[in-house]
Amino acid sequence: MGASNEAKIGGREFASIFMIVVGMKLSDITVTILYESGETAGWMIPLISLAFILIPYTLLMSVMKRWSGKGLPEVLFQVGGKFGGTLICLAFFAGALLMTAVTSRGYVDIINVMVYQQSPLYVLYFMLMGAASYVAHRGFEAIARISWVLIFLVEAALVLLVAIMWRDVDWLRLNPWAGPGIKEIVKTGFVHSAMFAEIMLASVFIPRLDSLRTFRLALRVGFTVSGLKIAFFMAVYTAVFDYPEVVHIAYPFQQLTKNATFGTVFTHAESFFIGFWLVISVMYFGAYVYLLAYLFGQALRTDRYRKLCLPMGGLAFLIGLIPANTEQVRSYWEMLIYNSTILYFVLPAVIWLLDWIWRRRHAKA
Amino acid sequence: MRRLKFLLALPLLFAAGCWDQLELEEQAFVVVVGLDKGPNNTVEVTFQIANPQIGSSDIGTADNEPPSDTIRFTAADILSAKELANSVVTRTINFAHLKTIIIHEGLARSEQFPHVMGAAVRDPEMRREVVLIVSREKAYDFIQKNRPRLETRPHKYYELMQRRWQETGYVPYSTLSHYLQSQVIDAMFLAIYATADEKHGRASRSADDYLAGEVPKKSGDPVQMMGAAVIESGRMVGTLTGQQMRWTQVLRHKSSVSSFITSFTDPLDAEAMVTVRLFKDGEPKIDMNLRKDPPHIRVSLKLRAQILSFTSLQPYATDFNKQRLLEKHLVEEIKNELTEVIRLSQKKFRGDPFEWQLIARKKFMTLPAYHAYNWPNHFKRAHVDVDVNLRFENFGKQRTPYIETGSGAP
Repeated sequence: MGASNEAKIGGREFASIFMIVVGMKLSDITVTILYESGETAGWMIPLISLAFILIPYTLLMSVMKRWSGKGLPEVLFQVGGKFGGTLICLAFFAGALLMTAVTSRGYVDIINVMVYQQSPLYVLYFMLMGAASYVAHRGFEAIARISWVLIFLVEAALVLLVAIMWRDVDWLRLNPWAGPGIKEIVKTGFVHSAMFAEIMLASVFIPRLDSLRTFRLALRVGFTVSGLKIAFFMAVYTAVFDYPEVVHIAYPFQQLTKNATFGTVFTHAESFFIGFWLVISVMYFGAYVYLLAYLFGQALRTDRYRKLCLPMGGLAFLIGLIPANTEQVRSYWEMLIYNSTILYFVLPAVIWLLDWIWRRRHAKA
Repeated sequence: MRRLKFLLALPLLFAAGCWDQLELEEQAFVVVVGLDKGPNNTVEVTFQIANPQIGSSDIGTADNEPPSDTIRFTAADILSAKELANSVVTRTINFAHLKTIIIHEGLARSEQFPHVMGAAVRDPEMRREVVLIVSREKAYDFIQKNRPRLETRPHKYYELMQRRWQETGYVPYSTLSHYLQSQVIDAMFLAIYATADEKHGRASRSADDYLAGEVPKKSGDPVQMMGAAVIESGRMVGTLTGQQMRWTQVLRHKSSVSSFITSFTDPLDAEAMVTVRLFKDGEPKIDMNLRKDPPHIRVSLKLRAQILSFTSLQPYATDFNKQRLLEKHLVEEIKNELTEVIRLSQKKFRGDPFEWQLIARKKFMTLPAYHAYNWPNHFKRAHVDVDVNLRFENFGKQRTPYIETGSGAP
């Protein structure tokens, strides 16, 4: 199918895509929502969620291992037949589409509230998704290459931000360490495990890498680094703003950049960080739009999925305009994450079952 | 086709400047905002707007213009006053360089205050790092009277004063961010206390036992910043003198002040004073036993001292017996000061200005357990022990005094 005619990409490029795409969650509404139920222990939740998502991931990988070198859609069509393959592909697609729409709306809200208050929302949204669609249209290889170029700059900027805010950090504010209680944290971690859903969606791209081994190594590096990064930043937000206040602040990352200063002369450091963040978010949604186009193309079994990039960007844009205000975006996001968690736990099980049935039938024959 | 696509995309580049563009020439940068209580639940908002031409090479065209302009408006909140200001000011009011907010004590003590501040922080232009100063008189009068002679530009004045505060520890490091944080946790917030009114002047032997307005001085700038306004749940409840403020900073587990100069009575001469520079040797160790009721708190403080001057002219530097005597005396004095501040906060303010709630929080595993314990209630009744470990580091660059009194021994 289409995937195999495109150029292969290296493991480090692949890992850096996920370091950026997943690591971006430290700067959006994900973190504030986790604080609401995680309280002072909010920073542990990303790590717990990551641990939980590894269960369906391992299940999925046990299937993928048997079909070495094939991507998720190819395997689905093999084991599920035409109907089952299309259906499961579309289920993944629907989950990813809604996630892209709600997340991108969250980003536009941040830009609108923190930077351009007078600009109409739809114009900002249109420009973000337009740029993202353009990035997606350049193809997966381009996205991978940009990520590899940017990754060191991104990490350096984050280190710089923490370094200049170090004076305001007081780790005692992370106490009481268990927040609302261990049971509550584990529960919250579980229901939010879909925040790392990309680990499942990534298996679409297996044929783009040299081997399954490289793929799994790259994912392991990408997700470990991102998970730790999100947890560390959530700990820093709490240590700087203190617990109840961190929930009151709408966007802790942007607030942290606003508080940062380089010495006494350059006091408005946020312009540096926000500009940087905007570039990365275009990349982030570029990767997402590409994934949507690819998944949908595969569901329809067409090779010309790149033509779908622009429509997919447009679709996410239109869905993203539905929530009326920033607080509704949060509640939609919360709802979506709950339901996606179910989706990403059920689908791998279904795939595993289909694979098992397929194997039994073929062993008999 | 390619070219057509390009041409269609080109106008997008210019769309960026349509709504949120800022013309630098048309901005009026507010550097200080003053807040007073107005009639009918309104606030009187004073803006001090900087004149960017003063202090720059462009001064030639602004020969007769003052360095700043001050205007007051009465409005429902700060943001509507900002909009209202443009009925008078020719340029767009911009808070991007706002660094200081002055609040009249009357407003700070009223119920309205937390509402005014909580509403103001929603504006992205209002930075959480803005410094809060509570003034004894009306904020408008404070800003009007504050005409520093050596600093023409107002923003520079506050910037430099802030750095001196961190050195001396007479006043707390108080930002809007801390103010908002302290409303939702079990700690009290301390704001800088200041005045431009000098008529309260009185002289005290101890160098720092003053509130703003009491510092005995002649001429110079009228503004004094001394002591702290104690704020509980967003409202002012009392004041701490400069001296009490310093000891409060010493008792905090993490403070911006690491050393300061202060004086004590001389153990060998009732008339004389000993002036020392004290260093915090590491952060204080605070142990709590919350199982007991009332809870038991033990504070161990390590201090280093440089003896700078003693008017008794006793040979403290060379006589080890006298040195020990002085050491014991200073430890006693410091303990008294610390106990006094703790007692004051427990009995008078009935709250915790030392941020000890952070340490109390460590004793609990979950937040519900901590909330159930009710720290402020227990703090008021807590039994606090202070333990001071003082070490003399040096005695200045002079070893023996000029007059050997000799007979001063007890």
